Amino acid sequence: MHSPTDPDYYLDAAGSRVRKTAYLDPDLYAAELTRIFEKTWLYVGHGSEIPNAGDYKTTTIVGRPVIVSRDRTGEVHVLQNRCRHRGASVCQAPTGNARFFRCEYHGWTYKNSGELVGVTFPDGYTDIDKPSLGLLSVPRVEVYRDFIFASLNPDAMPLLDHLAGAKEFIDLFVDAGRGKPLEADHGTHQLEYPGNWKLQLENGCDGYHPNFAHRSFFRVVGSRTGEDSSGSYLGGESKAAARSLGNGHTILDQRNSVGDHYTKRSLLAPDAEEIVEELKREVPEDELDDLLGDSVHLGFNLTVFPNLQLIGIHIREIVPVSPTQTVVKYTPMTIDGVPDGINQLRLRSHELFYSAAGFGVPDDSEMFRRVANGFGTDAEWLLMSRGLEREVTDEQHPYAHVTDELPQRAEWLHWAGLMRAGEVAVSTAGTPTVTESALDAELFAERALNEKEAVR
Amino acid sequence: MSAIDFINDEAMLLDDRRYDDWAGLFTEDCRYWAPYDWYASEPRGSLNVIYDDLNRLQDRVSRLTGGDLHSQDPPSKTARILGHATRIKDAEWNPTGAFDEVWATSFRLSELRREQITEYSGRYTYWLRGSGDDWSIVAKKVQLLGAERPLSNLTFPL
Repeated sequence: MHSPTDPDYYLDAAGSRVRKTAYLDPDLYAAELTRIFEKTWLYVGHGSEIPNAGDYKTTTIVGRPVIVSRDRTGEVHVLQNRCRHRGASVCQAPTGNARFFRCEYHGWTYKNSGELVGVTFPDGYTDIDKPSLGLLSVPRVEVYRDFIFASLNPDAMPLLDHLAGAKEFIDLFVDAGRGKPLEADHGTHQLEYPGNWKLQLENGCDGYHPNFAHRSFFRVVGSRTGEDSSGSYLGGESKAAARSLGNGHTILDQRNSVGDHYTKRSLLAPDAEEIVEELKREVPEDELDDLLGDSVHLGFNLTVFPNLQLIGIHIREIVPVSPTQTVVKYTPMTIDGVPDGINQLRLRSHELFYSAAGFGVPDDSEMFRRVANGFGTDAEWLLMSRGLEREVTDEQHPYAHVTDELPQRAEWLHWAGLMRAGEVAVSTAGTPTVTESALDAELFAERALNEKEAVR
Repeated sequence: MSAIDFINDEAMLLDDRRYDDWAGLFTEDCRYWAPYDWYASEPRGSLNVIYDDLNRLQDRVSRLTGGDLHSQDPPSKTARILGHATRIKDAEWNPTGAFDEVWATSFRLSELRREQITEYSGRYTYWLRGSGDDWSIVAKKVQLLGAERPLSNLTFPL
């Protein structure tokens, strides 16, 4: 009898095949949350969503409702949205600005950095220990070029070490603003699909699927641009590469093969003709084509394990909801201080592919649905072996053909490493004998406090 | 045929999946707009769920009728109920194309796909050109209740 949380049961040593139950098993999913999502760094938001002192947004981190807030010194906090008194959430809005969060149930008040500063009618308490009753905070928060990451693991490695080779591509994504800052101020499309979070993880840097799953997209685009095969930069003859960037991060790099396809695609947007006429007056002619192309896509798809992808002009956050339910958040980024037309084209190209009514993402979701149907059959394995024999591994970042499944293997192998590291002593009954929440220390301290109070 | 009859016919065309006929209702300079934010004041500077000119709307229809649109295989079946249509005098946003009348109505849309029914509701606003028996759509705006929450598959026209 295998342990349902033993990663080596689910995939082979090369990561070249994976069992279907890796996408289904509830015990494995629970272990992923504790061993991966509560242990590593997670993307939680972009600095431009909370640019000023007091700004906040609410979101979740591994199921926990949190407030991502910027205090008066500019420091970013990730606070669990729950009054320490009787449990009500202290912040209701998706975004806003507040110096204090007040629980409206009994009036306890917290600073936007989490400290408990006000207990109403305090004469009812003899020795309330305010410093220990601040909003629970996520212990690690680091910001890299406005990308806010948090970790529930106090001992997580420094963020920059975690980002490894992904850092270079985050830089490229940010530098596409040509010195002007990226902004997340048009909202976030949310899409859901009835499948495991790893289906989206695998899909972001899957260069094999576009010419098939997105066949109709490339057909209608090609008929407008006049390209015979508008998806050829991802075809079998493409010179583009897939790379592993370390720590499970991966890249599809089609910059050397996409040509002027993105520039042509940018011109398909409604109002494009008028926009380009205006841009010609505002932008040097030799920069215009690049600006137009960059308004669609930078030529690479980046996956930052486990919950962040940078594709096109958007930031994508993967939110596991259950073993078989996932929400994906798509935040298109505009650039502060460029001509309006550039940002309009960025939004149009985003809507074209990534909206729920778009010409791209719904077809991916449909494939995830079909995979879910396939799981009902007796066939056990999903094959990830494409290109295994032609991987080039003697460079810092192993690479293979853009259509090869090197990214999926790299993601799965990193997954297995984290799952193995978290594998705990298992009793003969097969139940874990050690709980392993990253918040153990905090929970323990809270429990000790409660016990102290009970004794009193 | 009144404008109201025309609007009801448009809804029936969509429920009958007569997409080429549907696209034929739109003018050359049309816009088909479903904002992300119910209160969006205009589409160009906003993030939208849909913002089509005639080319993009025709591409949308080409995908629906081209036999290669996976997210409509199997296709969605829809049934929509329109509320009482109201003539609008001062719309906050107007398309650049010339129009004669603006009408708005609430809608309820049930979508059946793979034995699952999904309910949508919201408001349609139509900017119409024409008169008497001859109408065309200069703009159709679809305010979808909850466009900002997790959505799944809106590849059938709203």
